[in-house]
Amino acid sequence: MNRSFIGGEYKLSRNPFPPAASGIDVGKDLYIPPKWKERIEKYYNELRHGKGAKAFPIVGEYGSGKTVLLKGYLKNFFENKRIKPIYFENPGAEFYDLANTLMRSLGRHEFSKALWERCKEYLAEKTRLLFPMTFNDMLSTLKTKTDRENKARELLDVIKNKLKLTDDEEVAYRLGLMIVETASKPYFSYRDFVAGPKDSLVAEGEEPKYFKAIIKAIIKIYGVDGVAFLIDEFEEVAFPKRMTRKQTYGYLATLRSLIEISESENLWIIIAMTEEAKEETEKLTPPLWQRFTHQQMETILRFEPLTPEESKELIIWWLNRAREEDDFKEYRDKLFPLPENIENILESPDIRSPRRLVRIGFFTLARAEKEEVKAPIPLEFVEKVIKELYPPQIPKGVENDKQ
Amino acid sequence: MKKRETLWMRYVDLEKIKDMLHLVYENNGELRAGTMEQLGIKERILVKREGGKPLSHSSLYHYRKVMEGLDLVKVRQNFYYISEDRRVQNFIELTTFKKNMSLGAKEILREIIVGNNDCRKYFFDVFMDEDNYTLEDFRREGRYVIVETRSMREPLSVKENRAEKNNENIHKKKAGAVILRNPSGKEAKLKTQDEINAIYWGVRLWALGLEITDEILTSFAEGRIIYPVNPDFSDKILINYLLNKIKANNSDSEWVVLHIPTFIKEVALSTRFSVNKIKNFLEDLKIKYPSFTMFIPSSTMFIDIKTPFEKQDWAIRNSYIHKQGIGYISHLRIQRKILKEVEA
Repeated sequence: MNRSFIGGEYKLSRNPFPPAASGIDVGKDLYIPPKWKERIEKYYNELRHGKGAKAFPIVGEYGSGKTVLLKGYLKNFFENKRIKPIYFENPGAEFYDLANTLMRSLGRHEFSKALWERCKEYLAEKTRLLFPMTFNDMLSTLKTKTDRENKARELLDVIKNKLKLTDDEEVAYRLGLMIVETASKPYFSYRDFVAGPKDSLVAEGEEPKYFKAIIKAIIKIYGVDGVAFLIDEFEEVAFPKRMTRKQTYGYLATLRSLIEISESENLWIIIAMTEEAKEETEKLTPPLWQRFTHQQMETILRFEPLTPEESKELIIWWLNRAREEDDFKEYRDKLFPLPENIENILESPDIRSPRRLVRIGFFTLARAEKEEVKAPIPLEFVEKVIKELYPPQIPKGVENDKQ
Repeated sequence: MKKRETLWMRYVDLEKIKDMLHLVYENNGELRAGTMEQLGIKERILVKREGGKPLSHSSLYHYRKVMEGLDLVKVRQNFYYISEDRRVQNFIELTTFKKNMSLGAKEILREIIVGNNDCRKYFFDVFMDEDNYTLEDFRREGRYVIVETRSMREPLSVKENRAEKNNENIHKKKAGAVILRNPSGKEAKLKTQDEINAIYWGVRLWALGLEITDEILTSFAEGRIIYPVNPDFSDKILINYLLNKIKANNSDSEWVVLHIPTFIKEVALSTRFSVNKIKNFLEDLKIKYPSFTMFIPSSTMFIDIKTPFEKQDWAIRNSYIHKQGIGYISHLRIQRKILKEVEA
């Protein structure tokens, strides 16, 4: 009965707003305000030809749409420009956290295999066979440690001199090791990227070089022009609890390495952070922050409250999700069943964030449907829902005693 | 009589001091130290807030010594008498047993504390250029003071090396000197644990509790800032300050974002208004102009990384606005249009 009411009265196949506005499935295209898109295009065009870092922060409070922008828009944006986007969620502050997340997302077997395929072009001259050797065949020939070490040295030469992924022998050797050790260890483990231990894949003190080589490898393997790191909630893990000074330096060193690599390679670094994370990072190291935001250019994509017009567009975008059927097509791109003058109750910028608007949309429709409110839903009804969800503040007393 | 070599000031609840003073007043010249303490316990004054158990012997001792040190009472032949000082008599008249002190009573207590020689010598003098001053002078002319601790002076590497050498936990080392330093260079060095307990954890907290001073701590490296509070609060001054901030912002956005702890620090140091008054002003502004203002919350993890010491968290968090159900607010976003609205 309810479904028929929502269809008959509201011209919607269902309530299109997700009940929990956080954690929306952003695999699909979502509403992005045009001004955000314009700003991104501007930064991209300005930075891609410049000598500085190809990086900029996205600053916004919780629920302002940072994740949606990274996953739902920037991913496609970079893909369309032949740049491989890699999305990181809570990557961690240290270099090995980032390397670990990156390599795990690519997969050890896949990455090693693909790298070997590129190396094979040069190795094949020495070992030409009737049938091309597969990656697994090659691994099966490496029975002893000496075999693996010899192969790693062979690969070192190709990685360094032919593929030119790095000019550092040790880094090239570690990449070679990554390939030859795949048989005995098909998955990456956390310790692989902690520089120092015996079997580490990273040379101590050479983390940025190693990372740079990996970026170059990704570009070669996937046949793309560049790589984009879309880093979400960096600070959430960067500052999981009280940060020791050592951890703070780790966070800054990682950020510095990324920015340095992006200055020389086609690596794009987009980091979503909250206002306070921005404030703190800027205070911790002003010169690094200036490199990150290109000084006078101030490449900071700062999320501000949507305008009332953008708020209406967002609501309409969601309503259209439940108007795909032909029966409802004449109601597409309309605010109906919500009141046309809804902007009158969207004066407060607090509620003009994507997450809050979606939540308001869901509860308004759910309640109106339950109470079988006739369309268009009265403005007062929506206002009541808003007040319940986000109660207005009550003035404080004059005296505010210290705790 | 052997001269006392340790300082008498300690952190005590000034409301309890007031109630004890009423007991002395009611039993003027009849109480000895022991009987006064017993009466305080019987009247549920000198007892712990949680569980109601009597305070420890040393705490009972400190309550008595603070009353004596502040000259609220006189001891003659081991019996306690109420002081004949006019201010103390007024204080008794303006207060009621077991009722919170009125604003007028608090003002008298402030005068007594700021006028006390020991409190001046070890704490209030460092704020002042002149030696002769009243509470009013202190409020009007007192400079701010920065608290410097040993951990701020030593780089991390030095501490780590020492810890390795001594094979000891760096957190368990002895307390170092605390230096209170005003911008003109005048300083008070608290070298011994007794001085730290008496001044840093004693007089400083009385002054803070009575709003003679207020404190800001925005980062560990910068240190705790203590400043005399100007009680003549004016929201006009604050609104002008805020509007000038907005005007000075050159970004092309219609919104201006202000970092609240930085704003509070700047305003507090230039106006001497208390942190709470400034926070209340911002909260009222949000209520008064909901269409032009917006609070941006922050997670406590960002607040807490500003100091390596957990005990300083509260002081750091105090520079943020706390909203029930939302958490800590780190920024205020203001629409430029507010300029027209306010100036109209």
